Amino acid sequence: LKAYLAKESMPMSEPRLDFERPPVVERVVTVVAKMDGEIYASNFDAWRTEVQAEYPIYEPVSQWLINAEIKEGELATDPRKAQLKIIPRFSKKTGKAGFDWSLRSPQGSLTMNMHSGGHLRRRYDDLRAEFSRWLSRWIEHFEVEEFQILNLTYVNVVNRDTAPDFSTEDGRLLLEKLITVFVPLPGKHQDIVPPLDCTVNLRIRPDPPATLLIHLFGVPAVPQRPTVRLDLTVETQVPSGTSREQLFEILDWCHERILNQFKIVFTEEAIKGFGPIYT
Amino acid sequence: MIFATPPQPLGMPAQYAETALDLPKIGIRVPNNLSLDQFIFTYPNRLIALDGGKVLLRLRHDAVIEMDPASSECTVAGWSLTVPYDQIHDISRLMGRRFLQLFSRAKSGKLTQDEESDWTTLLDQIDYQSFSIDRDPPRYVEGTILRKTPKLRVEWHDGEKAYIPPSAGTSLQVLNEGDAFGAFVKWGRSDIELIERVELLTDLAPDERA
Repeated sequence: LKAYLAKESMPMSEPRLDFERPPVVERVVTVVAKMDGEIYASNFDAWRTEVQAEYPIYEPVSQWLINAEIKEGELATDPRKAQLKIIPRFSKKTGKAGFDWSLRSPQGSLTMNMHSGGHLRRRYDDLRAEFSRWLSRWIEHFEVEEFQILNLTYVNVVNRDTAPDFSTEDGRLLLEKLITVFVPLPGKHQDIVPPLDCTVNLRIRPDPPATLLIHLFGVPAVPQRPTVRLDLTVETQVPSGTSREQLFEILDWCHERILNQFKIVFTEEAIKGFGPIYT
Repeated sequence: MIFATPPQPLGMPAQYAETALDLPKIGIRVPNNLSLDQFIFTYPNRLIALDGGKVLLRLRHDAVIEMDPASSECTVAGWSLTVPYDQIHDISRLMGRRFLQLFSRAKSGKLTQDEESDWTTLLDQIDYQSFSIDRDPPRYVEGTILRKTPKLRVEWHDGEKAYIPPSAGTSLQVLNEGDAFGAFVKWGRSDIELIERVELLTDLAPDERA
């Protein structure tokens, strides 16, 4: 694993890229691991007390999951096979206030969301450091022995605020000049109008398997401020026996894949428009 | 470019972002010809923590939740428990509280006729024996250390011999082989979970012991 990661890593001497008007509004890391159900249930209350000392807002996510499958070309639902899932979620600000750092810890996984944009200038290193701190506590608390999957997501939002040079006077967004994926579309058209929702999942490594998901979609907003969201997600299986330190090497690898993709999915003009700063 | 099937176990990467950006509020919409009260939701969390996690209430099956769109409330079947939609995230705590409510009333003989029926129905759904074992406090017992290596082995006062799991045996490591001791011991469902408040009895005559 170490040799593989080293082969794909970027040279250390390459300057680091930052932006004056970064489109990244959220970075999310998730690790999935084997966890004993009884240990989780027994230790959750103590974990909640520990987390709430720093992440005081507790707003669990309730998911009402309905089973749906396509039968003979029609969507069929079996109302007897629905499920309720509750995901514990802690944050520093409420959802209504827009969140600021949040942490989810259902049985078998730990997710950390770091919010940024506007005056909040945060980088991958900030997420890495905070995740590292809580991962150690989580491993100890729930006696985690084996990691299984690692997932890193970057949420980019493009609108007149992040890309002022790519909006027309009446507020329309010049998408073709900003983004290289899914646009332009063949044929003659005037504008793209909602709904816009394009997803592609790419295999980027066969073993251990890793994928890159690109998701471009329109975000409902006030008409004068058309907004699109471009999510980049790298997910990889974690080899058996991976240590905590090695997990962070894999996380860095995921980060590099996202950075590389970022430079490709946005046009050179767009990247210049975000106000690049090399440090 | 080739279009392939996803490698197992990875399929479509999961999305965990919080960013919503002025998304309109989404209500619960159900397919045509169905109403929400026809849906039966199961809640797959079968372990409910009591006493801060020291005691676990083990459910034999997933809890079943029935919806009532008229009142915007859900009912946990067999628990006589109603929870508003917007409080459903608290379901485990509320189930634990409901159990304790009936348990306490049953213990003090104060169950009403309806509650008695609720309590009987609820008992069918949980592993009451493991709850009792979890809840049982440590008991004072006496024993003798037979040997410490390779595994800690003791003989209890009733003549029964047992190996002590390493996690529970640390408090006996201060003793010598052959030492008689008294201690508070907590038995779990499969083995000893805790040994605490150890006393050395070797130098005490049997009638001087606690």
